[in-house]
Amino acid sequence: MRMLQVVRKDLLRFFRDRRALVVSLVLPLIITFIMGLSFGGGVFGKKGISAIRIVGVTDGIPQMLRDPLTEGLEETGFFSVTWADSNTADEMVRGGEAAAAIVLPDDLVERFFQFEPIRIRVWKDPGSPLKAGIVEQVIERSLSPIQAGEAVYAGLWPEDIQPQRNQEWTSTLESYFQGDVQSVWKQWKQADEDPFWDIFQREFTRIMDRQAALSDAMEGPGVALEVENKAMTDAEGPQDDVNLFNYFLPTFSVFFLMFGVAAAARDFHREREMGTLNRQLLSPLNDRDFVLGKWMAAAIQGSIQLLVLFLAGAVLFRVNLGSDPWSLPLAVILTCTSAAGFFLLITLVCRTEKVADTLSTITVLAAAMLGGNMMPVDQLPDWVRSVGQYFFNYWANVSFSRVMVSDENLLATPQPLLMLGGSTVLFLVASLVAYRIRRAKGGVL
Amino acid sequence: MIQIENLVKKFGSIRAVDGISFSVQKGELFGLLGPNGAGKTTTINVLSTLLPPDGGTASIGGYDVAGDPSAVRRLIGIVPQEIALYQDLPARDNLNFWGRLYGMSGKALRMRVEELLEMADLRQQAGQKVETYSGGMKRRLNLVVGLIHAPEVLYLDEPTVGIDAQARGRILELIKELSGSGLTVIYTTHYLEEAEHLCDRIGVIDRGSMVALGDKEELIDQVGDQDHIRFHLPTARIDEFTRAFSGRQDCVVSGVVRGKMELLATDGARLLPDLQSWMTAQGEQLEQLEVERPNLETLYLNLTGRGLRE
Amino acid sequence: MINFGILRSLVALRLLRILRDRTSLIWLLIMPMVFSFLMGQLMGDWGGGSAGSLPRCLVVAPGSGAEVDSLLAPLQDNAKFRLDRRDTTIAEEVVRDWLDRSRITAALYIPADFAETLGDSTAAPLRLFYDSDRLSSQTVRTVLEESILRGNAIAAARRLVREDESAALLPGESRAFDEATFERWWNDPRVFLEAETLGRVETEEFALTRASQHVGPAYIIFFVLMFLMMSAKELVAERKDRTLARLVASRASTLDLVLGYFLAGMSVGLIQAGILLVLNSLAFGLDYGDSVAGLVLVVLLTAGVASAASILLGCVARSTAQADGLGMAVTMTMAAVGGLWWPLEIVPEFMQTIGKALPTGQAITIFHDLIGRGYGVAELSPLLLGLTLWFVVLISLATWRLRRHALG
Repeated sequence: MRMLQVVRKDLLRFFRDRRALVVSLVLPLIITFIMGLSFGGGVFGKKGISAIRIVGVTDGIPQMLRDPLTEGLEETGFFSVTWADSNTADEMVRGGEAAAAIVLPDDLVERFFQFEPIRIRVWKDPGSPLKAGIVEQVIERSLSPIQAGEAVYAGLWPEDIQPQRNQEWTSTLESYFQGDVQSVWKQWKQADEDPFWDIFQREFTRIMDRQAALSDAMEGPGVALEVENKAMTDAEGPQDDVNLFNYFLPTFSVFFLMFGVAAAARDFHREREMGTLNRQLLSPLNDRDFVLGKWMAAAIQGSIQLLVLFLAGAVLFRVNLGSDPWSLPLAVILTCTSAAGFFLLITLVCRTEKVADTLSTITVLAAAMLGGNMMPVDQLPDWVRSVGQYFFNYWANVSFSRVMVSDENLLATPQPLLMLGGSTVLFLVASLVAYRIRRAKGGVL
Repeated sequence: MIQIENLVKKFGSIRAVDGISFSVQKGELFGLLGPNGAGKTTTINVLSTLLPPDGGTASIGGYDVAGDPSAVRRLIGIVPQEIALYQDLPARDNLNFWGRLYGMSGKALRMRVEELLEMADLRQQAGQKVETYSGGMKRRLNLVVGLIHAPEVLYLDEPTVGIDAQARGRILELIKELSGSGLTVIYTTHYLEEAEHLCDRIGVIDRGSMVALGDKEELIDQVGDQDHIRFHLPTARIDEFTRAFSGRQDCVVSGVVRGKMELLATDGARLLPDLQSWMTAQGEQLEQLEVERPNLETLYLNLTGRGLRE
Repeated sequence: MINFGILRSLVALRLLRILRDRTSLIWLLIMPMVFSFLMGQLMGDWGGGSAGSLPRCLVVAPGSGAEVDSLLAPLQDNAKFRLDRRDTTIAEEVVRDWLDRSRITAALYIPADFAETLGDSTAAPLRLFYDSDRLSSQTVRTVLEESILRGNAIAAARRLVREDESAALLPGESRAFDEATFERWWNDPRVFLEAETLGRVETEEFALTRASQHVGPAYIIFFVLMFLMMSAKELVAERKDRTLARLVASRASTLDLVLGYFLAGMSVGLIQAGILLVLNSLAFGLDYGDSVAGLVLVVLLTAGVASAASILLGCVARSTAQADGLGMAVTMTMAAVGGLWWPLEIVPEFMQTIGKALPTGQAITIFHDLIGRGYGVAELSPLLLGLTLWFVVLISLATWRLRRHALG
């Protein structure tokens, strides 16, 4: 097959071309390494993700409340909590030392027991909007059950939650929560004759009974929600087996693949300028063999590039390559054949290498943005997703995401592979037609 | 071997080749002479099936270039003007690739590659990238790549452009050897001395048309065998000089050519003493004297009114 | 001594060559603008900005009734998605596929007997198919959970006040459930959260978390660096075709050459940055903070560092191809590590430290500090000094390389 001679020669030249190797392999490897360190499972599996720093404002907050709050926040795995006075916290947040500060009212305990409004404030770092947003969301969500409980309590026993109900026992409870447990207990034990302690005991017991009953009622049968999340991460918090790099590695690899394959396809123009294309036209090589040879060489270069990157990801950052032995190789091959066809077509319709270079780079950037290589497809607005589906890289991203993130068998749900295969055939036929038209017009000389 | 009748090739409104006709015999080395832009490369491109003709016919070995391009391509080899090689590959890889493209393989290919490396004197450097070669080495490799499949006809399109005299000499020797072995060669150039030195027959092409065709002697005969004598003559003496020399049998006064007085003499050497005496008698010095034997340059100048390298 | 005549000619020549090339104009201005615009659009959803038509939340509810309506009421009018309610069953496989292909942002299955089994421990659960990586999908879940919480809270209250005392959870407490009070407390909770962003936002009226405030400056820095690094090959070409030697053979000293190349590069960088700054401001309403001096300094230093790096690359690379490859590698790496592609805040701390040591990281942090924190030159001085240090090192190395090697 003469076509294979073209492939062989192009691959020989690829491995001898330092610039092509830098653009196709070295540069993507460097970026992969950086991405892996930033989002992956850490080098050789050591976690690299840092917790979000929150500063709690200590003013008036008893230690007894601080500890469970710290514990509760740190348990989520998202946060690390420190405590400081309000001025220091303000400075820390403004200077970017902490992503957010949680400011509880100075008279939190007093307000709580006097049933007065409690405003919890979150100061957000202007330089860390994403992290600060997460802090806000988590606190908002953790307040919801408290708010619901209070609303029910209010609907049932409105007399219990009237502000300024009983100053005396409120201050007793306050001293209890300030940590003065012993003295409250001693007073309780020694105050048999004191009518206050009778009232206190009765009221306290009643409220606690009501709260316990409410708590039981809230946990009783209600509407249950079963959730199926298709995302690679779980909104409940980071999990040990989730590696964001499973998603980012293929999307960035496809991005670089497009640059590499576009450069390989442009070799048509370099051959035209060198005069070697003319020589090939005079040989027994026919049009079909020539176009197929150029396409296959570019596709093989792309496949080598993807394989190197995926293997590096798997070895260095524990990227999941899927458990089905056929899915990933098929996705790699069809992505590369489609990419090679697409960029060969662009090359053939451009008059010179410079025009092809500019057009293919613009196309790569546009396809990367619209097809989900700059950011996850799922984050894209609707109109972008509808446009993105007309780009081969969209289907490549879907394929890799299914294999490497969801560990699916692509042969069971072959739509993305069929789209890639179909686009390959389409691009190849169009390339052949474009080449023949070009040749008939003398545009290959 | 090659028959061309009234060949036309147009690019838009420009007739790059305008009704050229000529034929080349088997084993002949035919020179296609003309300045840059005359239509030589376009003619070669049509003859090698790279461009379809817009009029007339051209056949190689009996096969029509437009009707049966595949058969024509099997017969021809081409050495293009540019260095049409993969400069990032060594010579041997280049030859192997082109050989395989022509269906060669195994021992036959290996032997042919070694033979051609030897012919191009590149065996020592066969493993080095072509981009490291000198201009002459690249040109030699460019030439032998065109021979990989042992074609019957070889088109050489200005194969010596941009190299030094010594390197050019080696290439010309190589071409002579090839021609001697029975290969039919069409050689385009704008170096007159190369055409004079190498070619059996020459076609002179200008602005797409064949302005002269024949062997070297025939062409030179077209300008006659007279020597051209040119010298500086003050304007005031022109009439006097014309009167003195126009009556002679052994020369003709052409007039002022390129700022000098010109005489066409049957034997320039015998006329010069008389000329010297006349000038001395007039109290003038014989200055800026040129004596030119008839050659292709003269022919070209006569036919087109301009030099080949203008 | 600097020869100003030569300097002016050098700068003019290089500017002319760049500006006459249509391709370079594409990379100089058109691509950065398209990129900034599209990325701003794409990232709009991250920052809460509007981004095209609303995603669809599918609700499959074969049954009907006040209970279903009440459950869905909070989902009806949401700015992040629109509700698409169907009363026929749709296969889960189809729904998963729609979710995969982003035709919907979430799907909720409400059992046909939802109303009848409400409060029954054997009731079938609601089923939500969603994608926590999508903001609109997350919002569906949050709003739905709120609605369920509300319903469950009311149901719990009703269980506490059953007529049948023996079935009540709190015997002796049987009484009416005051739904009006509940609603008041639900809508206006006693314990509530108030979030505020510090910095300039306290006094300025704009949304700080808009994505364009990262994307705008990030792509200005990226494209200034990329364009100048890509033009390094011209210096290599001038070395190779000996026009550089010809310049030296004339009256140009090394200092003239370095300054000429540097000022030309810097002028291009400043033109590019200036136009993009204005366009970002007009197109995205981007605000660059209150410190004009800080803004001018960061733009000058960014263009200066990029120009110096370009000369150094032009002197170090052995071929134009090598300059292209190296230039691309350096630019992409600096952009990725320096936080131009994604904000540094989301990477691990050690990567943030490395990022902020790079000129790209320093420049983007200065922009963030100008826009978000409202810093002035005094607060920015450590980062500005960092950029200045990079500039001094790069221009010194470039001068040394040009003097020692580039002319040979």
